[in-house]
Amino acid sequence: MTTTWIPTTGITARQRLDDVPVVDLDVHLLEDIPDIATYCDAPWRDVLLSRQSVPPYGGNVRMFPNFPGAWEPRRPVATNAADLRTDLDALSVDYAVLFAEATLGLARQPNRAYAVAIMQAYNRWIMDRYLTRQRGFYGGIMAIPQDPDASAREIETYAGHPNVAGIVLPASGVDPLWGNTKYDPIYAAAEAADIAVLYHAGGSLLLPTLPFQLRQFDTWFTQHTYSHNVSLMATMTSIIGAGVPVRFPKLRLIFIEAGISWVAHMMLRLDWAWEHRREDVPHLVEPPSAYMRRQMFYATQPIEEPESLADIATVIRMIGGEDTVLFASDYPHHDFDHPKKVHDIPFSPDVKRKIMGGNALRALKLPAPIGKAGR
Amino acid sequence: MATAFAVAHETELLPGKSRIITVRGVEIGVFNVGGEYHAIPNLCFHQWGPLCAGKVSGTLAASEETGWRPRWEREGQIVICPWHSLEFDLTTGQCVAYPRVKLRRYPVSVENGIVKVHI
Repeated sequence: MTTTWIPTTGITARQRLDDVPVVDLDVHLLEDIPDIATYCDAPWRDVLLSRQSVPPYGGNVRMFPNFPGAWEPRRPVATNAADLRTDLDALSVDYAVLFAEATLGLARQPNRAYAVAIMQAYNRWIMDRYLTRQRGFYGGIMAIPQDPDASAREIETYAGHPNVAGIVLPASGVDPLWGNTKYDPIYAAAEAADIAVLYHAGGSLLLPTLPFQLRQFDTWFTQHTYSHNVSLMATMTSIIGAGVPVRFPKLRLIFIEAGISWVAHMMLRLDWAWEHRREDVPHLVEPPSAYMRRQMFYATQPIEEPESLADIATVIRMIGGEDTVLFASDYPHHDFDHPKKVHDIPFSPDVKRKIMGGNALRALKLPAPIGKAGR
Repeated sequence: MATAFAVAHETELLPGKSRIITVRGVEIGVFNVGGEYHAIPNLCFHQWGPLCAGKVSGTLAASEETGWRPRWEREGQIVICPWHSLEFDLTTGQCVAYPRVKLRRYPVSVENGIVKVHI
């Protein structure tokens, strides 16, 4: 059956969400946007001209769509705090947790000393450019797997700064995975500083590290679809198996950029495995789901969109998500979510307020917004 | 009864051109596709993106008919939402990805050189 879509509201109404404080768990800053052009045979020439950019974004669809505007003319993505604030205002976002773009790939840098230098530079940069004034922005400072001690020192350096909400642990290119005890200094420092740990899924990258051996996949559709959720599943499995939430019971661990349905699958599967092989994980005195409900939080983007949004509400309830699911847009990426889509999931007004911002304020220990804008 | 609203002079809306107007609080995109006018809402059903501000081009298809080889077709009559890339055929309002979704289409006429949309 065909449904005819008849709008009843105009452009202004559709883009506003003014009655609920919105905390956005995933906003990206752009260090640089390389502009690559070439030409090729039909039909790919038309695809190139009218649809997809060329690498380095893995043949992605427009990596950075014009937001909130039209296709042409291409409007530059915000590269300073004032422009970013303007764009987020258009999205009805009050508070935003800021992440890197290219620097999120730093875990793949083989030169440890160079990786440390970039990590430190990025952290100085984001503090100076985005976090000195009160704009509703919270970092997102970087850690790297190559040097856990240097990463822990970064946490100590910025601990207590009111605009630092968490330490970013990129989830792609990491070997061994984040549950390995070599990373304990990072977790100990984050727990002492009382800041959240932010696991951010990586892109459609061909890497030798689990789970990014994507050579068998030859399109964005297959690579991107498989990589984000599986990288967070691998991270989750690793830290649960290693008992990170048991050994650091005050840590809040946040999983970003793979939607939320995977959490239901992992919760059930990890509990099942725990029943069968408790001797492998005797330190887990409770089933994995207990830690996943208590200490872990899940960012919505890209929110799954079943034909009936009530189905996704069911998934959120299954994982205890009324208290642990956090809205995220992934601005300015091509697959960003508008907050209204998540707000439309059928929950009570109270639960909607928690998912759109209340849970994030608790997970990140941020002050409550002052009024709607909170800035 | 439908009311006619002026959109543009026909010389301002040549083939390949489009214009977005606001009527009674609702935005409507009017497109000239190869000499024929088509009007649809400027609102994507998916996440309410500004659909009519999207690029107009064609679409890549592969079917038994093309021997499963990709073929670029319907050039000039497909608009793509600038937010999440859903494609719609301007001449029918049909969503390319979802057969179940079809956009409302508004009648368009030309009177004394003035393109008018009827709502």
